[in-house]
Amino acid sequence: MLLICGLFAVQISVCPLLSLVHAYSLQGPNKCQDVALLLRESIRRAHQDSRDLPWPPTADDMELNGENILPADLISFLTMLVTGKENETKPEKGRRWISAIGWDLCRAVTEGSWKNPKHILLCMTVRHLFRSKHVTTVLNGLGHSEWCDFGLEMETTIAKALDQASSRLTPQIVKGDSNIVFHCEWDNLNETTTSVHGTNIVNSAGGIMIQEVKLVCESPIFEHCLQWRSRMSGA
Amino acid sequence: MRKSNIRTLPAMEKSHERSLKVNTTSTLPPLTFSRIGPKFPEGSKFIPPADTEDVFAKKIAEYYIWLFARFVASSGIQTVPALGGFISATGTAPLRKSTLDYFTPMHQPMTESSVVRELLKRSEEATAEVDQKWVISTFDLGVCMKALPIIWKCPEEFAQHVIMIGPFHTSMNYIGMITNHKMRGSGYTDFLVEAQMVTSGSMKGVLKGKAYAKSLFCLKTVCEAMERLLLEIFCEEENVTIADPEVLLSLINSCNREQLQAALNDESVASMVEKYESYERKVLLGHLGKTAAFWMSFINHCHLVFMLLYSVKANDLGLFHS
Repeated sequence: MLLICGLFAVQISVCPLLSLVHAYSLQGPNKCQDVALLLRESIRRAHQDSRDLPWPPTADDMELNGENILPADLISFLTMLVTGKENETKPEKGRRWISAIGWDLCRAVTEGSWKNPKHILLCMTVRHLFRSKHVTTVLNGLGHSEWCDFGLEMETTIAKALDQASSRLTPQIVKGDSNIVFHCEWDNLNETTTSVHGTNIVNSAGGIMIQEVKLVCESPIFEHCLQWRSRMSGA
Repeated sequence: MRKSNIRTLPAMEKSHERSLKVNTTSTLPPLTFSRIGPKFPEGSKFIPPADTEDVFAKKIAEYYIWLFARFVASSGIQTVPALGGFISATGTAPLRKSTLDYFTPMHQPMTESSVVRELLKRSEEATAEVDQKWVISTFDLGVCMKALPIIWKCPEEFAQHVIMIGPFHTSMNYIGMITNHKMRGSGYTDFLVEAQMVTSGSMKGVLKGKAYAKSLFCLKTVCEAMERLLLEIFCEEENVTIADPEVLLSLINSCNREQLQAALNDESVASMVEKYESYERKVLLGHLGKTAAFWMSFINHCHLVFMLLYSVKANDLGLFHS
């Protein structure tokens, strides 16, 4: 993989007229260069055509399977490279490898400006598993993950956005016409704490929301939940 | 379902902030005001619903039939369920249970007016989100005493608020008044200890009603025991016979709404209920002596608690009002 990445390090002008078939049939000393340029162009075009990453991104924006997003040329190339056959029906593991290598290539070609699910998710996963800036930085240096501060920024924005979208109600409670009666009940919620210094009582106020719902209301949670999908489609 | 209710996570600008700055929540400033009473429109009168007594009499008849059935079936294994089970067995199950969920707790004591005001505001916000006009809140007695003056002080601000004392708090405090005050020294405590229903350690909570489930269980048991004793004397003195015991027996065998309705419609059972009620009234006036009259008043208090529980369990608003 590092060898392939090395191929893209050379800055050469783009030759948009080359086609994939032509590239595969090329013979001669520049065949590697031709294939590299073709793929580079495909990746850059795919990057330009890709939709902007919503900020903050959510789980629904993270489509790990890159077959629909990665350039077809790149997938064909990698399939040929990995399996040695064209249009090989790949097992799950092979498809995952191809996607992962493909995302790495896309990130390398676009110099990190194409934020893709693999790098974002790996960054977040490593951060949550190990809480180590060093590990993330090493992975980032090898081109497998976003940088550590990207993860921190994203988490901060998610927290802010959730705070903005937060409600007094919980997802169980239905809003609008399906509601019959909504009722709040408050009572003191005292906790007796005991320590070496003796006992102490912590006074709080706890509330319960009780709701009668119309029978026709099928799925109260659906209506109330944050709709990631509709956000993506701009609804 | 309305489209406007769909919530989305807001899109945000990139700020390059890498940590969230959360300030410690400040405690609410104290709220002090001069208390004023409620203002009612000129000439307004408070009249209970006209059919209150009828509704109560109708439902208490069901209670008496349950009592008779328990009395008859008490030799051997009791087949008639206790009052709660009987209400469930003869009632209709709701098609859908109420949804329950929890507000975020507020870490300040509820005994402060400022906290109560904040709770009213939180209820208002939550109710507004649901698109409901009236803000219905339930508090215990102490908080009601804090919340109502706030509403009376600012009637326009809290015009949509309805404050209720919940039936739980009502019955809990009522049981407390019965067992911890009225029945204190009557031997109620001794019954519970002798019957091994309560240990002396938990007696305080039971008598005050704070250990609600235990307290209610004890109240039901003692009340039923007293009713059984009364029924025995009643049967001896009045020489009661039921012309058609089949109705009661079939209710004992299969406890459901049809059998209960049949028992309610049966004339002999109805006359027995009527006789028993008038006998209870006689006992209350001292027919069996002062001790019996005292315990009869206890039974009457228990009837009120049971009917309140019945109304809540059966969702019977008419009975609740009565």
